[in-house]
This record gives sequence, structure tokens and C-alpha cells, in this order.
Amino acid sequence: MPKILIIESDSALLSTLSEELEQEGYEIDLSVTGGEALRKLENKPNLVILDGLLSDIDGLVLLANIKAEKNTRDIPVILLLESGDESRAISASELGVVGSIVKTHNGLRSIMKVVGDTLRKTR
Amino acid sequence: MLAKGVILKRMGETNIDILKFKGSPNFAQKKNTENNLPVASDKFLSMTAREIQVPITTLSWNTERLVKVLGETANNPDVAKILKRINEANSRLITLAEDLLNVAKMQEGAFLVAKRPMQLVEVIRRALRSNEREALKRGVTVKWSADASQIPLTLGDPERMHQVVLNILSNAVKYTPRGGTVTVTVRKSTELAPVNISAGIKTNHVGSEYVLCSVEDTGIGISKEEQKEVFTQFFRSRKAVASDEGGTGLGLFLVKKIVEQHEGAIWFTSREGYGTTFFFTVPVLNPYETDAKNINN
Repeated sequence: MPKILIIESDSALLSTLSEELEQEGYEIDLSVTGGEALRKLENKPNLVILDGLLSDIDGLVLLANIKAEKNTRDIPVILLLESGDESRAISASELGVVGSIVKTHNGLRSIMKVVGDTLRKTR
Repeated sequence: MLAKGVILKRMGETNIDILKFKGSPNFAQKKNTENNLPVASDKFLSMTAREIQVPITTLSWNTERLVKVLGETANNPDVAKILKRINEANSRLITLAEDLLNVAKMQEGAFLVAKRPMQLVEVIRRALRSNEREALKRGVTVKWSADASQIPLTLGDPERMHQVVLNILSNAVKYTPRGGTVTVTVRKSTELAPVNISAGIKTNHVGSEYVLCSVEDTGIGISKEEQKEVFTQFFRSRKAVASDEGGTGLGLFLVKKIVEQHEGAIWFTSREGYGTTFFFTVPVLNPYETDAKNINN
């Protein structure tokens, strides 16, 4: 069963996303801060869903960290952005993110599709 | 509505007490000289516009989950009606947040236009596709024809211009009664804007060429006394408000700013009860002026 680490500072969004992914049959690990996420990355998730604006660190900085570390650089990362932050998708792409999703423009169904497609490609 | 005393903590910014902002006597008086916009201190507006997106997304995603949980019950007419209202309210909130964010970016000088050679016809086609379902739902016929080969390239930001066309088009569809028509045309023009409305906008340059787009509707129209307010912030006509259609009153304000950032002009003619036609122009790409300064402006 693929393991997904969700890194999102807002508890309501985190719960919503994790419950939906669990229903889809994924094993879920949660993190509300970048610091906590760095520790949980040691569990080698198959995929990371990362919010662009965490409470303790810029999501792109955390992404750069993930991609710089030998042990984590191959883990695919999907970035969640706010509307208005679309330009950050370019920086994220350069850092090696597999996809950027603007939250207000995309429903859960779109996110499930991106997650499914990414995991199929990396299997 | 934000709770009294709420502190915003995102974006790595210094915390801002909303009460301090709301009580600021300088808010209405302060002006950004470039855009003549009121300036909210300490990026309050953009932070709020971003922050509000989090509960909007929570609402939207959980409505989607609710529909799934309800299964067949979601098709019950009463339940479907409630879900439709929730979704419509959520769409209005998203538009409001995005409009506020764009206004905030203008205040901060961060509203960037990335110009490059652009085929306006393609931008219009995309906007038509985006609005197709809405027009169908409302029973409004959208007529459109243009020969792209006859329309020269312009210099512009396709994303921003898409915002312009979609805003004008969706307004036209929204305020046209069922059975009405919206006609979109595009052609070459030698005028930035007609002489009678040029005053106060910009001077027509002799020898310059423009692409002119018009969106004509058979809708409710705008009264004479309200016409001068159309491009101002938060303006909504009496009829628009009475029609119960959602709107922030920021759309056309932003549209005008974007067109002007493209060195173009925007204007309209309207007759209450008969309809409105919006026009905007964008300068034709001059092959001798495609230097880095122009492209990146």
C-alpha cells in the first residue's frame, strides 16, 4: 500500500485530504510543520504532498531540502499552492516537483488523479 | 467575517492585529500615486486575500466529500438545491479572494504583466470555451467569428488578457436574460479609442495599429447616471445588485488596469434595458520594437 506524507499547517485541510486519501486506500502520515516533516521523511514515503505556505518554513525551502538530500531526493513531491502564487510553480518545477496544484481551482477529484498518476509512474 | 482580534500569522510576515488596521484613520486617505488606489498598510489586504483561501478550500473540498457520502441522496431535488447554493457561494468567495488579491498586488506594485507576442484570437477562444457551459446553462447564445489569419499579433500577457476577456464575457452572459445573445467580434483598427472618448484616456498615435475586440450583449444595460462609475472599485449597478447575481465590483476595475498596462484602451456604450457593448484595444506588435524592454515591461 503506497505511503503518502501530507505536510500541511492547516488542520482542517490536513484532515480533509488525509481522510479522502485513506478512503482511496493509501497509508497516510501527517505533518503540520516543516521540522516535523523532515523527521517523518526518514520513514521513506512513496509520495509527499506539500503545502507551499507552512507555519514555520516556506514550502519551497523545504522542497529544496528534500531534493538536496540523497535519502529523499527521489521521493516525488506534489505542491499545493494558493491562488495568486502560481508563479511559485515555476520555481517549484525547477526544484523538481512533479506537479503544482492551485487549491481553490482544483477539487479533491483532481488531486486524487494527480496522486494516482504520479504513483503509477514511479512504481 | 474575520473574528475580532484575530491575528494573521502566515506568509512569514510580522503579525498584524486586524483591529489596528480597521481602526486606522489613514486607510481611506492614503493613495498609491501610480494607480490612485487606496493603500492598506502592512500588506493587510493581500494577506487576508490569501488567508481566506484556506477556509474556502476546506469548504469546497468538504462539499465534494459530502456529495460523495450522500450518494444518491445528493440527487434529491431539495438536497441538490442546497448543494448548488453552497457551490455558488463558494465560487463567489473564490472570485472575491482572487479579485482582492489582484488589487492588493497592484497596490504593492507586484501585479506583473509578462508581455510576449500574443494572438488575441486564441485568448478569446479560450475565454469562450471557459464560459461555454455557463452560457448554455443560462440559455444565452454566444456568437463569435474571426479569421485569425487576418488579425495581427499583439504584445501582451495571455493570462492577464484571458482574465480581461473572460470577465467582460461572463458579465455579458450573466446580465443577459435567457434567450438573449452575446456577440464577440475582433478586428484591426487604426484607433486606440474613438476620438469622442479618447479625451482623458490617451492620445491616438498616427500610424499605430490596434486589435479591437468588442463584446455586445442584449442584456439589462447600465443607466446613464451609473455609466461613469463602471470602472471604479466596488461599483455594482442597481440593476446588477437587484438581479441577485454575485459580483465583487472589482472585476471591471481590474480589467481596465490590465488593458492600460497593455497600452490599450477600454470603453463601452450602453442603453438601459437594451444592452451593453464593451470595446477594448491592444496595440499591434511592432516587429521593430520587440526588444527586451518591451517584452519584459
